[in-house]
Amino acid sequence: MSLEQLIDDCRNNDRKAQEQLYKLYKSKLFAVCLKYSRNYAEAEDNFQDGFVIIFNKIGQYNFKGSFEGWMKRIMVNNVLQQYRNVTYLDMVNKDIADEDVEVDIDDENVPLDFLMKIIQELPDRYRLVFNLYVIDGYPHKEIADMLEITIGTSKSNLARARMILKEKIDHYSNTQKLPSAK
Amino acid sequence: MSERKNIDRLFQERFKDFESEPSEQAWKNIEARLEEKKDRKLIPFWFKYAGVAAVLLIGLLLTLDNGDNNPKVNGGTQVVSAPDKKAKAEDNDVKKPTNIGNEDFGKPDNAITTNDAIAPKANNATKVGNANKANGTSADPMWNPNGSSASGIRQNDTGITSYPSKKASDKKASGRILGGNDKVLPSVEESREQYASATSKNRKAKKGSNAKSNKTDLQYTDENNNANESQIAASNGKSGKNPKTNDNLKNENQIAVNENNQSGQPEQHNEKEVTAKTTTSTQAIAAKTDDIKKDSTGIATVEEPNALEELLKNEKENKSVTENEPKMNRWQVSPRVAPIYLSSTSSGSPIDSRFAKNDKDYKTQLSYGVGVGYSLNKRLSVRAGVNSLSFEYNTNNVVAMQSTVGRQQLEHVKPTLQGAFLRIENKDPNAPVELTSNGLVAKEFSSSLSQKTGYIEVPVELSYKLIDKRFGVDVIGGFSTLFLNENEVSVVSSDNEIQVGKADNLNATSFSTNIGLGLRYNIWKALQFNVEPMFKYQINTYSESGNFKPYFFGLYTGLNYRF
Repeated sequence: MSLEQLIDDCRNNDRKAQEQLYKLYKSKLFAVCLKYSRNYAEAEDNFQDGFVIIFNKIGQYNFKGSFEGWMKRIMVNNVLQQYRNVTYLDMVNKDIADEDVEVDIDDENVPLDFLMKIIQELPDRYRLVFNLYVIDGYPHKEIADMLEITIGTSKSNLARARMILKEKIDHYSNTQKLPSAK
Repeated sequence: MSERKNIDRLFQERFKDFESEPSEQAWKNIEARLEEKKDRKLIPFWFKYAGVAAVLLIGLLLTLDNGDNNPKVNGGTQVVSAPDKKAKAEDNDVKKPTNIGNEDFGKPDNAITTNDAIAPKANNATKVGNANKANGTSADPMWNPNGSSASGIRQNDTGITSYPSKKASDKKASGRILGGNDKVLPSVEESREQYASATSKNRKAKKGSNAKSNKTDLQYTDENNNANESQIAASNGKSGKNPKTNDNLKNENQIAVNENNQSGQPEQHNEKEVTAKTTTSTQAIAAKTDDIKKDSTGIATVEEPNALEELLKNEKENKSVTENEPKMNRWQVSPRVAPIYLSSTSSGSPIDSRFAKNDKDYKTQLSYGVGVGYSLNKRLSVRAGVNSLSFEYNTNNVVAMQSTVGRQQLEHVKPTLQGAFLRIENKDPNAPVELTSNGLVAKEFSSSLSQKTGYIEVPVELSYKLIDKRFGVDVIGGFSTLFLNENEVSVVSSDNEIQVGKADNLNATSFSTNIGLGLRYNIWKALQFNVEPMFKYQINTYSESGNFKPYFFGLYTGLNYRF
């Protein structure tokens, strides 16, 4: 069955087709939710919300562009909506470099689980900006529009997120090395 | 061993092909929500109507006490509203005749003196209007033309004679024209006042003697004509004493004529202005004098005299009906009994989602109760009552065994002590045989899961009689409030029944929307036999329903005793 056929069946609310579509994309989309959410439980909630939205809006998909991309955008938008409006004090210190500084780290042999954990631990907006910019490759202009912030805020949030992540990775590497060094 | 690496690159590479499996439950939840969406569209169409009925009912109950006062209020307005209509008629009359009057009068004026002014017109026009009005109030149209034309001519005469005489005086600044106008208008107003008092007299007289209408009307028209004439005289006299005014008038006349000559429709143009002025002035005076207050209210309420009158008529009719039927049996008491058939609009299980697809077996239960009804009018009545209500259904194809191994608790059941040691799951013929710790095959009870719930139901319904003969048909709509008073989940197998717990997802108070048909048969006047098939859709029954949407159907049978 072609993807088009499957999408068409989903539009007709065919539960079997919906399940099939779900099975095709669940892993990729759940991964997106994990990266953008605070923790596993919230990721799961966002994932379910997102999929319900996908099935409700599937009629709006116009077969232009990648379907996966379309679904991913819905997932991301849904998560953004959850966290975008969470107001918290902008802790960004203005002297932090706004520019895209290179932040290097020593060790790349850190497990994926740990990377996921520290991403999730980032403050909401840092996490969103970091994901959008670094992992999903959105430009700052678009991120600013999506999050309803200024480009400057987006840049400084990203810089701040990098610093936090680097500190945590360095700390992790050090604690891992110590016992083995003896 | 490690090289320094850009943190962005690290994350990009690591997450490039990152995938993660969501839990099995996720799809079930999504499916349930999609199901829910579908159901939401199917929300019973009468839901709205039930809501409307409830609002209506509450509204009616609230106004029930005030109901007796309403006729009096209406009676009060009647006095006003009846003449209002006449007033409106007069008002219409006023406008038309004024136009005619103006034309009649305007033409000669233009022709002879080429003096045509707004202000003098206003004076004359109102007078003509008054004259016509006076005639208009008389019910006999035969006399009108004569009367009006006569007065009209007379006014024309006065108009022509008076104004040219002031022609001799000079022109003055246009700034004074306004002042002049202001002075003229009061005289218009005075004439209005007089007219109003005359007509109000007229009305009073009319009320007193409708029978004599023709003769009296004639008299009154005469009176009015006289009054108008005297007014004309008075106002003319006043304007005569006031040379400034007249000068201004003349100025205006000339201006107006010029304008009129240029625009092809002189009369109409002026008429509009004149009528506008006269009406505004009447309203202005109306507010001042007591007599005319009636008139002003007349104008104000002119828009809806029909509705008021209809209301009045209805009220009267109702009164006469109630008078004819000295006592309507408004109250009724109806004990009733009903077999209740429970079902669900969707497959689902409120006990555990694992049993959603299982076959359900709904037991028919009996509901007992008593209802009280109050007839609001001949067709509409409000009913309330108390019913006992119980539901029972079995979830079939379930296996129970005494084992705690691999036991998964039922999602929405708070287990009893006994229940805590039971493992209950779907019957699966391919399932491996369970062994107990001592190597024996665990005993399985092929059974069904029975859920019993009981409620006290308090229905509040509105019923409307479609047919009200010896055999009657009603439509009934409303809602019920359900108070939970029994809650039990048990395992039933061929040899025994064990209570395993209570459902923890049942709301203590829930609601249902009700719709039904009532069939009545009058045994005696005060006693009726009735059968009411009612459909009740439950709302808010479960805090977490597992997509179980219960509804029930009851065939309520009982006797109505009316008193």
